[in-house]
Amino acid sequence: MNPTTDHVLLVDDDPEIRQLTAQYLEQNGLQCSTAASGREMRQLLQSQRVDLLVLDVMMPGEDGLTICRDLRAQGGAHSALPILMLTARTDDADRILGLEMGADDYLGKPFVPRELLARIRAILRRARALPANLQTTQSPNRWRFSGYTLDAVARQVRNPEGVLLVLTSGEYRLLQVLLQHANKVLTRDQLLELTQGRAADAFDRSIDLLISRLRVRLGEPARSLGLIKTVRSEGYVLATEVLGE
Amino acid sequence: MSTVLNKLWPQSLFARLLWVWLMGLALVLAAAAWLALDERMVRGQVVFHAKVTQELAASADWLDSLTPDQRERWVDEARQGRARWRLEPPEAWSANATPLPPYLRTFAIYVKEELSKRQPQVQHLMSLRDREDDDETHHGQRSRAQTWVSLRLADGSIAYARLPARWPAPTAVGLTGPSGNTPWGWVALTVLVGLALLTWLAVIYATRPLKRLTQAALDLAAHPNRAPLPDSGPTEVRQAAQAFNHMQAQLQRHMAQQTQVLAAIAHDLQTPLTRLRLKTEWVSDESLRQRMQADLSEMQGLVQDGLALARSWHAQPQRQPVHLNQLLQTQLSEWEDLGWAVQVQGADSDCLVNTDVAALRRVLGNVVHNAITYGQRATVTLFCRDPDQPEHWCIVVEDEGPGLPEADLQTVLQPFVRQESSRNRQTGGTGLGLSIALNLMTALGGGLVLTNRAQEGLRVTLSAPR
Repeated sequence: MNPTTDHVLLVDDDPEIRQLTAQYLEQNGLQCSTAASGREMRQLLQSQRVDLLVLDVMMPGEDGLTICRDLRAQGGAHSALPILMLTARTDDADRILGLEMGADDYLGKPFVPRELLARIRAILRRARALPANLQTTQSPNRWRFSGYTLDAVARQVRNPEGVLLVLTSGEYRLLQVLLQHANKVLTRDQLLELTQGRAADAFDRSIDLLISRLRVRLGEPARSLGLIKTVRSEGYVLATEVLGE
Repeated sequence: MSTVLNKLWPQSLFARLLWVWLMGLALVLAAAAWLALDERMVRGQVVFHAKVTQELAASADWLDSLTPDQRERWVDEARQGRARWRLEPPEAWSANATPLPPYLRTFAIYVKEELSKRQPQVQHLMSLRDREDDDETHHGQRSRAQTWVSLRLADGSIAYARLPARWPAPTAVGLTGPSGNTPWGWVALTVLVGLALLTWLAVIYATRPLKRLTQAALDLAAHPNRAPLPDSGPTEVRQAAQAFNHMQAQLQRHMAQQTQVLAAIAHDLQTPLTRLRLKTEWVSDESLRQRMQADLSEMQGLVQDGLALARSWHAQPQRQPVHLNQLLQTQLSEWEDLGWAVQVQGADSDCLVNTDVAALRRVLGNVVHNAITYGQRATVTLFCRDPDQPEHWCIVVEDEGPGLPEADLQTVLQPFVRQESSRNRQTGGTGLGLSIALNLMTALGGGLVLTNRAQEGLRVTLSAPR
């Protein structure tokens, strides 16, 4: 076994999907093992090094959400294992990303195999590329900052008056990343990695656009407080006290 | 004849009940009043007849006891009393006789019967017409028929007595007002107004539950999850409410089952669709693979939209305070990212409303997507106050496409109905977008209306309570 090849463990109850997906991923340069249930998965995790877990949400018996939560809660060797969830229902997306489950990404079924491959590579690269201090992130269910609240369960942001602020998913992810790394300067590359899982092109201004949009969305008092500060030639920082609950 | 009756017979149950009650009660009251009056009038007449007869008898007795000279004097003096007497026949006696007026016929029988047992017997009872009465002309009264009675006295001579000209009017004793005139008009008016008021109240009381039921049925069409009717009131109303609630529960169960079936199909299709999608990766013919993958995408779109439609049938709005202008600005960013040509107007100032943000974003997404698909570019205009309904907000989405034939403006909102000509499957989409949008707007207590613009293009008007 080539130790530099990334090892993906796929957990799905459908044998054909397991076989076909594994075949596709191996054709594209990944090592892929499969498990039909949470029990099989745990056995494999104990005997082998695994770099990333692809987990189906809808499984008879122990479902993907439960497995994910267990892995994260154990605090053991696998609590930081990157997880990509496969879900048949788009409504699950909020729970997967928002709750304490702590999956890194999700993909709706039926998925396009190329998309799955791209997501897996992005998560793996992000896990490697980011400096250690940015990797461990707390993910509380609710954040408070300068009177604003971000409810990670409902994926809702409210201004100090309690009025809902409507954000695009990109803006929401950006705000979440800024909160997780409050009072730390994040470069454009780091922000791209953390929000979109991709490296920046040389002249990529998409983060700048996203930041300016987020400033507009937050409105007052964020604007006059200078909540999101531009650090010249470095990046951006969310400069305020952040409380996680 | 029947058409006339149909015209008189009111259409609404309210008016019919009112009509039957009012007419019926008025008739019954009139009949009862007539019976009571008649009875009193008969009695009043009998009393009067007896009095006149007694007076006649008394006077005759008195005349009997007098000598002829005394009689002459008495007759001249006796000008009081109800009768006037003569000892010779009145002028035109028997010449101008006319039949007795109807009101005297019963009296004639009575007086003959009463006086047959005593000495002064009634010989004739006669009405004489057109004989001016000296004493009464100066009262301005018109001459009227005079009625005379001839009585045979004990000595065989005849005395003539004139009956009173004023006979009791056909009114009931004791029912006359202080002025002597009964205010029949006022009595009738009071009774009628009282009846109308009572009937009105009774009919309102009887028809109100029906109105409530009608409103509930109308609400049910728009909001299948409306609260059940209160189980209170009289037995029949309670039973109707229970039946209605039962029907509503059945309807909800059917809809839930429908949704469950759709959800189950949609979910169970995911696995074979995923397998097929994976398998296509091994199809070596590039063009065939792409066509297969396009088919699979279409199937998946149908499954997802079908599921969304089923859920929209009984969507429960989660209202939150939000600025509509801010929501539109965010949506605009998303549309711009998708490369859609959308223009947003009227979103400069704050417009705070309470609404379901997720549902509204889905509605806007579907409607604007529709506009972009068929009309290339969309203009979205926010009216924080709907000009027609100030308590509603209103968002108008206009495109520059070909619009729709008037006949299709309604049908296009029905699920799985697709227009033959311009808007068909070739342009993509499942055609469920507007149906889902309409259902979600209905759940928000608002509506979605399609109209053609004066210029080319379709206008979608969304509105809901603020």
